Amino acid sequence: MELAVILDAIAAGIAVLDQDGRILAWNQWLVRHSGISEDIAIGRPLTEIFPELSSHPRMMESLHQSLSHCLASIISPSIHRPPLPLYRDGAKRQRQERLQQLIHITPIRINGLTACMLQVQDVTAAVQREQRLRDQSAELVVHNQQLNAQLQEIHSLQAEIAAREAQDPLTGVLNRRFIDKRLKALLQTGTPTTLMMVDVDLLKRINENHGFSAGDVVIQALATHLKNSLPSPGCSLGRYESDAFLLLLPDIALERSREWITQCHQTFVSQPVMHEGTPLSASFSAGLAFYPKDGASESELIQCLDLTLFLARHEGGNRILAYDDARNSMF
Amino acid sequence: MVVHDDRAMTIQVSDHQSDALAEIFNIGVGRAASSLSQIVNDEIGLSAPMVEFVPPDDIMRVMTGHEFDHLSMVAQEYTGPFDARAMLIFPEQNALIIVGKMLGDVVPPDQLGEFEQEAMCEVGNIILNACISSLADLFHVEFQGSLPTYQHATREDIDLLSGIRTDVPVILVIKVNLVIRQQSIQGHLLFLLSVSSLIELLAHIDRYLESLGLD
Repeated sequence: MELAVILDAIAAGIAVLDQDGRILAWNQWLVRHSGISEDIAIGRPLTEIFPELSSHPRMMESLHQSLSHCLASIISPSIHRPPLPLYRDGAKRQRQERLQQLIHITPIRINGLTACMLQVQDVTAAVQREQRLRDQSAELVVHNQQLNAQLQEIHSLQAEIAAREAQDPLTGVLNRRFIDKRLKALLQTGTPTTLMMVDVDLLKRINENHGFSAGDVVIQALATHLKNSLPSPGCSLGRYESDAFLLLLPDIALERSREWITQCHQTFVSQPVMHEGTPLSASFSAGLAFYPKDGASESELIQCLDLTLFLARHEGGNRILAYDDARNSMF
Repeated sequence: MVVHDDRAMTIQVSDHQSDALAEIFNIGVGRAASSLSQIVNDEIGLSAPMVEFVPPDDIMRVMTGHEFDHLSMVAQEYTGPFDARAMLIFPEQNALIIVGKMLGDVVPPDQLGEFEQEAMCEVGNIILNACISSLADLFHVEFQGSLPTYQHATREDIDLLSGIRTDVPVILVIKVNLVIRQQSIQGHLLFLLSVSSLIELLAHIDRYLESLGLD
């Protein structure tokens, strides 16, 4: 059988080189894509046919390893530009657009001598497809990043809206709805808690003497003062009525809570609240109750606080009273 | 180092011999490093800091850690004065890093696709051939090498010995450390050897040491 006929029929480039790198076989596929005829190629060193190969270290190394060490190599288009000047057609040749090449260099034995075979596959379509996929996936990554950024923005807006929903606009502490929710949650879990109702003394008089904005300033100052000195991060502070705040101190005993609010009271009354350059002296009263000792439900506990606060005011305000003290003084 | 054969034969590998092997493989991976550096046009470092002989059953003990759950393997068969299946094994994640760096850090896939497998195949081909040609040069012998094949395996279904007919009582394991663009990547070179191939390898090392006046 004529071997050359088979070589010419193969849909890939096949060249066989002798020990010195001279071309022994050069199939039709190579003729077609290199523009170099078999007559010219046979007997010449491959590096003479393609002079630029000499400056391609990987190709030279692979040929050397094949011819002197009998080792096979693969040269893949994923990490190399096409090493050989092979073109699909005349137009591509003019534009210098080489076809993408997957090259196998394998040692073979011919008549007891080492030779090597070059197989060149045209993988242009696969490389282009790969490139398109890569471009698309790069676009997807960018798109994904944008979506993630937008999602993050939505989350932070949602968090901001949720925070605003929970906030009292004047003081920035929790509003009535949310402090109620916190109280309900603590009762549901049965967490022992000190409750406090804190009320600005004589707010009406401040409003009458200095205007409503002065009253607001005092309320703001008290809210800030309480918020900044809360005894633990688990404590909550909410505006319960226009001049009253509800504080929840979970897992803090009544006596410790009383010490804390007494300290708080002293520092608050010792410093005047400034309003439009005028110092206002302001004070507050606080009523304390303890869950579960003083009541089991929200309404019971709030009643205890109301009653205690009423007594504190009745006794002239500017004082701290616990529900126990209030009950003793009443009965 | 002692290698036990099934036939109750014990083959002793001296420190001299394993030092010589380590040196030869460092020459090999050094050559591979310069080839790889030329391809990426950047400095790539390769070193083989450790050489040991391990029975096939213990091979996964050498490759402990989660990163070895998915392995990327390039294999080539070599025949000559002694025969060996040579493999370059990287945890798949490490292979992805190498290929990513070789391809210039384009979008890294989470698995090696066809394109990346081909690139990895060539990286393995360069490293394995460089090691074998160093052996051939220093021992003044000739090997025949097949084309590389790529395989992906999980720790559970790894089968290093598939299609090998002879007994493989020992695997020569060379830890390799590849440094590419400031990143250090670990992998392993394995040479699966039969008893007769191991004996032949050791004899060649002795001859090499003798030629250096170091026997």
